[in-house]
Amino acid sequence: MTSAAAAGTVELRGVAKSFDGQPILRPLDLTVAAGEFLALLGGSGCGKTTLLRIIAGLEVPDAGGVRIGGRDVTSAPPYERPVNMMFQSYAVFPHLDVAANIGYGLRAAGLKPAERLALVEWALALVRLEGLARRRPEQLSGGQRQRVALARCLVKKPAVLLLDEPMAALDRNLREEMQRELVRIQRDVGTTFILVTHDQDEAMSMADRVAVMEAGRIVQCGPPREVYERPANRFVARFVGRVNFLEGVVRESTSAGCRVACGPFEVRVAGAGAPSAGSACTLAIRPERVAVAAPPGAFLNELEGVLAATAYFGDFVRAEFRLADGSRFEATLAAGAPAAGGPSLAPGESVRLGFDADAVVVLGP
Amino acid sequence: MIGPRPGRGTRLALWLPLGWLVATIAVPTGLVLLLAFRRLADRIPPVEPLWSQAAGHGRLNLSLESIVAVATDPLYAAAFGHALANALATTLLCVLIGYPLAYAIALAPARRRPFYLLLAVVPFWTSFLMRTYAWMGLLRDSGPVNSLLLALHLADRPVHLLYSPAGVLIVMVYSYLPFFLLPMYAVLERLPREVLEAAADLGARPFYAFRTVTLPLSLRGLLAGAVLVFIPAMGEYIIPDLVGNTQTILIGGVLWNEFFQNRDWPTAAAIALLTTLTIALPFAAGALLRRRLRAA
Repeated sequence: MTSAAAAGTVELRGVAKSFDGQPILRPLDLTVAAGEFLALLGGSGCGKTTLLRIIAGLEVPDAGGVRIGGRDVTSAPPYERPVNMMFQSYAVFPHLDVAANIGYGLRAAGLKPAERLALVEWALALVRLEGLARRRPEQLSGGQRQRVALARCLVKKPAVLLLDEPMAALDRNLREEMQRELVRIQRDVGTTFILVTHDQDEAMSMADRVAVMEAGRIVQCGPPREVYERPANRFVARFVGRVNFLEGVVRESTSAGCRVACGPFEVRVAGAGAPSAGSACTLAIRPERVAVAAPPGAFLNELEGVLAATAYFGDFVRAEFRLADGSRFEATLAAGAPAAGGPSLAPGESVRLGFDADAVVVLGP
Repeated sequence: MIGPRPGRGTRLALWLPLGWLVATIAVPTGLVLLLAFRRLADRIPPVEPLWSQAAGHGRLNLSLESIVAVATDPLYAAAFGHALANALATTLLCVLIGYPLAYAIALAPARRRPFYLLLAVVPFWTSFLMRTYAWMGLLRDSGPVNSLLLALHLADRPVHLLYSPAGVLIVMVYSYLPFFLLPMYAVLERLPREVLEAAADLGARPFYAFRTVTLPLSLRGLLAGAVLVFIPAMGEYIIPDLVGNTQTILIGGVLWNEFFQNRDWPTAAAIALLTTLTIALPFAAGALLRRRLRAA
């Protein structure tokens, strides 16, 4: 099955695209392995949808090349690519019923009715739409239309499936259900999935790898845990989850870590690869790594903060503090235990905030 | 009843257009209907009064004479047949020319579309008669169209276009094209681009995608435009009169002659009535059939 597996590789080399002189994609490289689930994560206008449309063949790049399964498809029209796309609007054919929608691509490929029927039934079962074959699109809910759009792609057994913000139009409960469904289906069929999303939770929970995009570039690409725990720069750190930044100057740097002076505080950072002494840097600390009202000496790093506000989210509480220099600092607490040191915290109270050396990431410039 | 009760303003807004429709459609149609069942008379207006006193008792003067005469005279049937053939040919050509044109405008960059539409509509700021006379000049044996045909060796002697059925068709198509183009464009322009992209993405080559997605989704606009061309083309009498010959005596022209030349109002009204019914009945039957099919 090596050849079939390799059919799902996608390689982009130096792909660039402008619209009306406005660069949408700066020359970028991306390789997606066969059977991988990759999420393209970024805000609106970052170029993620354009990138997806270039892979689908709906846009032609100004420069660079696209290879799918080792074959150069840079100038191949969409109907000659082993790729199918699920559109954000689903783009279900309004004049065809569910079965005809799902069978459309098979019919275009010239399959006989009997062959089509078996495949359409397989696809209906895969997306759990059995019994709705004769329904028309206007009789379907948003979630059902989405399943039709998905089945219509999967029935073609594409080497690569592209998904453009597939959950954007669904309500929250349905969205989480469909996210699980998509992961299940991806495991079942083993197709390469490339998902475009602006929702970091979606990208993190579903994908094997997340490519974070900003202004037409891929700024970081790696497994969700790596992107979250070792963000490459401020943008990634802030886009993927919440984060506290501390600006400082490196005092001392060793192979085991470094000490950074951040105003009145000194922060110890664990891990190799720290910048040399004297250089300015930004430190990132995730709020859930911060202990509130920590006993003295329990953590290597300690800050004094004044509680400014709390926000209750049900399963956790987000507390916002002001540091001595006026900057904001966030901490997340489990809702059951408001603070380790006391039963409750009132705004205006001064609290000790503690975090370990390995909770700190030194960001590049 | 959903929502609040309509206020005075709302009721006025509803009654005004209804009143307009009654005044401009129902009343004139009713008058034509009444005229069609009267007898010609040597008076003004040239029909017998609806009600007359004779020998002491009143009499309602209605008759089927004109209806029967129009329905049985082969001259009227021939003129009707010519008009039908001419209107169908005009509609077909408007569809064949107008669809690709509307599609090309709909696919053009959004900024340039209003300009292209303007180009298609701008000749209609000139009077219809002026444009028809201009076409007579163009279609003459020594006119530019024939000069071009001769220069390109597509013809070795002038083709008689003026005063011929072909000439009538050319000017008819020219005149009626915008009535097809605009509704067709409105539908094509609103076709969701992603649906067409989805067809290509699913492996449909351009022509297959057109046949299975674009055409079915734009059929409504095509039918609307075709009806908008066909109905007035059926009653057209100026173009066949100016550009045509004796082979292009169409029912519209006959009606005009009966009314204004012969001052035979009952016959003219009978022609109008029968023509309208002959066209309207198939449309109504089609609409009814479609509703039945949808309900089933």
